[in-house]
Amino acid sequence: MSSSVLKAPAGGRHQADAGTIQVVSFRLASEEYGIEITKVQEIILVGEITRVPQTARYIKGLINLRSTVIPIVDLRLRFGMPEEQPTDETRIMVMNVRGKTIGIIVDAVSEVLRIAKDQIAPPPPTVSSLGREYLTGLAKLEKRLLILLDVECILTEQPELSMPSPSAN
Amino acid sequence: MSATDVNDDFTDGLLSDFLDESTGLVGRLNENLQQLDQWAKAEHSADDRPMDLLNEMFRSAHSIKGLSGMLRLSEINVLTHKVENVFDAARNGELPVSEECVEVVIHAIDCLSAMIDALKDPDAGGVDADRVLSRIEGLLQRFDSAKALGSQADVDPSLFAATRPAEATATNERSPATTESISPSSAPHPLAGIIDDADIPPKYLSIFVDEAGLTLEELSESLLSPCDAGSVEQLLCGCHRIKGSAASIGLQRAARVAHYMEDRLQDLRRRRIGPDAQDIDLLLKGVDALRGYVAGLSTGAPDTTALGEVCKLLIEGAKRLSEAPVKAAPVPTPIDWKPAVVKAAPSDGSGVIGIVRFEAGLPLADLKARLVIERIQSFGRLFYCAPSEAQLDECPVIEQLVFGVATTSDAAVISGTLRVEGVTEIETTVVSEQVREATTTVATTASSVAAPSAEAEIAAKIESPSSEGAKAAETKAKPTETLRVDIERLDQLMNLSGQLVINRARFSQIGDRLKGVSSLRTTMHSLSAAQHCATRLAVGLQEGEKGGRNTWEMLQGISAKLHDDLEALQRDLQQLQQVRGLIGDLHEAVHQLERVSDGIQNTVMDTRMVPIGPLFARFKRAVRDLTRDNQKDIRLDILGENTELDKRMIDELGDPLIHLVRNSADHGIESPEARVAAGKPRQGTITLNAYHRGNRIVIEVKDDGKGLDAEKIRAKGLSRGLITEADVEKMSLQQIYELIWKPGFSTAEKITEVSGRGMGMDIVLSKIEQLSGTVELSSEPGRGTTFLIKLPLTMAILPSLLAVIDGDVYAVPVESVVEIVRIGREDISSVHGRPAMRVRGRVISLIHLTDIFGEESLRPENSDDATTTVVIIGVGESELALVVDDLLGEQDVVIQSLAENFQNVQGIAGASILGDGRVSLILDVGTMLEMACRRPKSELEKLQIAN
Repeated sequence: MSSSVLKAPAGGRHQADAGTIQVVSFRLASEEYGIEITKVQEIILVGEITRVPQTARYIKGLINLRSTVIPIVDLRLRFGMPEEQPTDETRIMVMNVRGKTIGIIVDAVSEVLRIAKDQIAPPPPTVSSLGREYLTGLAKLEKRLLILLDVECILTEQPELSMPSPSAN
Repeated sequence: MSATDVNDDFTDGLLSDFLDESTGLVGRLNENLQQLDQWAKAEHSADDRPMDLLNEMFRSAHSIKGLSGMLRLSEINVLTHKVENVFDAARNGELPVSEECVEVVIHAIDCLSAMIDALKDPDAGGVDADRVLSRIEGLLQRFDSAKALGSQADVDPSLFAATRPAEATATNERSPATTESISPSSAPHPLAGIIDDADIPPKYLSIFVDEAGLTLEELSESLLSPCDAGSVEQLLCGCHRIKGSAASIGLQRAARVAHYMEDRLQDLRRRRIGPDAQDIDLLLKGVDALRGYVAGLSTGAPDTTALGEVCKLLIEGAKRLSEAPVKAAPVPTPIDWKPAVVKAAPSDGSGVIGIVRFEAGLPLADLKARLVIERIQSFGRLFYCAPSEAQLDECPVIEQLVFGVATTSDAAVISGTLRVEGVTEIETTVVSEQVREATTTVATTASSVAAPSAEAEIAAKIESPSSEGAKAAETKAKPTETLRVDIERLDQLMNLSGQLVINRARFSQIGDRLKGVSSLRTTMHSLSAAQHCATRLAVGLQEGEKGGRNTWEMLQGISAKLHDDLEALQRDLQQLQQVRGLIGDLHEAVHQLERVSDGIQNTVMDTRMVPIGPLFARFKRAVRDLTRDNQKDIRLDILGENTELDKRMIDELGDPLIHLVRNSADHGIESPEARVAAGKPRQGTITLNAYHRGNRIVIEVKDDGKGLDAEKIRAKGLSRGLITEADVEKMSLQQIYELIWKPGFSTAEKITEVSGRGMGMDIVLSKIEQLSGTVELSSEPGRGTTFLIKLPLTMAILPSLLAVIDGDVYAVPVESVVEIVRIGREDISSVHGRPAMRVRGRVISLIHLTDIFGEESLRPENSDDATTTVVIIGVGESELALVVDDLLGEQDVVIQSLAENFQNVQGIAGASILGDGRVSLILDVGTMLEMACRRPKSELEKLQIAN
């Protein structure tokens, strides 16, 4: 299992201070999301996943991460998107959430971005009113939008989410 | 030096030592209390007292007092001091050992252990001891015990540095009544008559050796650095510590020397001066002597001569100082064989002690001695015998036999009986309180006069305990050296060894695969044949030069190239052959690795093993309290205390076991009247037993009570909605009994303080299952109930059967596998729409894992396989046939908790990493059986609804 540990660019958080945050951006279907880099432990390729019965559908199963057993969440299924066969770009992002190590499957990991706080806007009311607390904001970059996620909220015990239907927007 | 000066690290270390030691001491106190309690309940004459017990308890309390004083744990110090006073008063006959008295002490000890627990957990609230203290005070005052007066001030003076004269403890230690039995005073030789306990368990001895060694190092270090008045305090601490721990395990001589050193230091402290050169010299001698003695202990041959000398020096030194002359100047006591025997005498019964002297040079003396012993034994239980029967073989010359026998027979009658040929003198004495002052001697002289030389010899023997001690030590096992280790480290080591097991499995898997590579020999053969052909081709071409020159040259070139290629190939293959050899080596290395990793795993496991005895001993107390509360008469029998379990497991077992014991005591055992009416002994018995069976540890909780009441359980099950009327019809007796494990079940008609809250048994079950264990229950009406708790040897590694089910590999704990069978279609029948199979007369329901977990199966519903592999899994009585695709064999798997990074999943005990790095799930068979039983019902309901 190859893995690449993410390193913050030199200079790191010291100068980053209050003004900016660093996020790892990744792709899910056609949308781009971002998770704060401090939560991400490493990014690995998708290997064999052992299914676990009696768990939510979005729990893909367990993998062996250097002799530790960690659960894998399929973020597509978590967000109610259709399941896709893994491609060459599919990755598992390993996170540290509340002392637990958890992996999430994403379609592709793009890059590490530094975002100024003033670039971040609250999510539009149509989305935030749906009770999607895990959406912490929208980062408006030059040509694209980055949806910022709070991992802790995503991975807590909750019924499977479904994407708001287009009509709701 | 004030309390605040004490170095924190120093006290931290001391505190953990204190916790260790005091927990042990409290445990012993509790044990002794049980005995004392029983003693108090029995009938006794007014001045009869269980001296041994009281002495031992006094010692324990005193040790805790000393240790706590040293650490300035004033609350504990005050409390233990009071407790000590009670024991002392009881010992001196100032306080009758009544049930009330025992009760007060029990409360005090409870309070004490609560205080000690509070120390372990800094967040815990304080313990209020006032009530207990005032009760003790009241008790002592009521019996007008002088001890109660001024007791507050009598607390270990180290607490009130320099405010109290040294006599405070000295009085305590040496009041004549006290000294006599604890450590007889000495006359000509300061240590004469002070005898170390003969049978110190090697475990305690080694702890003492460790600790005393450290303390002595500290002492000599502070003695060698410039001393001032402040360092006296520190020295005092060290001496007191040695005194306390030595006395607590019965090394009276070492304790005495430390005590004298302490006296001297206290004197210095009182005068607020530092030790002068002479003092330091003297103290260093003391330290050296102790060090020599301690070192001797660890080799099994302690040397006490140095101790004696130092003792003399210290006493002389004290006289020299003599501003405060040593109180209670040693009173010369007649040289006597009695103290040792009297000490051994059980204090509750009457007995006769005596000495039989044999003719010098008597032939077959050992046989004669045996005859004498046999005759003595006909009178009652022999509680003391020196030399013992076992020692008789080793003694070349037997000149005397000292004995003590518990009997009510007349001493004169006994001495009459013992007159055997070759016996020169018999002296017998009835054991009574007065014997301690040596009276009522019935001396029967068989032949004229006792040879004075013989007497001197005996005296010498008694007087030089060092030689006796050394001999006793020789026969004893050398104490093992111990090291205290943080359990976290052991856990880590356990994890690492677990990973080693995983990696080992991986290696052996790789090795197996490499071995499967087809043999290269035939390839080699065919290659060389091809080469041969090529050569011949070249030769043929040379001969037939008929063809065109060009063609011929070309062909020859090709053949030469072919030849070269083949040669190169052969070289490669030869290298491959070497690789093959290396594979063989690898295999061997893996084999070796397996052995080593097995060894590491076992050793790590052993390291974590502790005997279950102390856990069991806790229940004595619980049973006693219960019997008092519910007016039953229950005895707790404990067996297999030495069975060892994983430390963590012992920690977890306390709760479930206490539940079971309480249930037995509360619901199982009948009231004494009911028992007598049923023709059973008045006293009920609960038996706790632990033993190994195969790869598992079995803990048995058994009572001889009325057994489970099936009717009541059935009714309760119905009323609680756990079962339906329809179920009842089909249920076997055993199945009804098993209902008690259901959550929310309780058969107690009245809710008592201790059980019957309706939450006992299911908690027991879940706790045991958390430990990967099982509980089996069997009950016979009127005969009693037995619970068998079966636990794996260790919590982390589980021998499992690896099975492929629906494409995934699952680990089934081997302990739950009943058998593996292959069945044909014809073996499968249908019972009420559910498949079942018949194996050797049993009908077992056949189930797919997906059915249990209620998931879609990936395999086709009607596979064409003629046969199916089935693993019959079972816990206790219930069995289930699980359909598997394939079996991969048996393997030790390392359990990883799912909850660590995820959550617990019903029916899954955990995950483990296989040799190839894949994750496999470990099935929780107990829960699966439950789930399987639940499902058919719900499906039946569905059917009914559909209809």
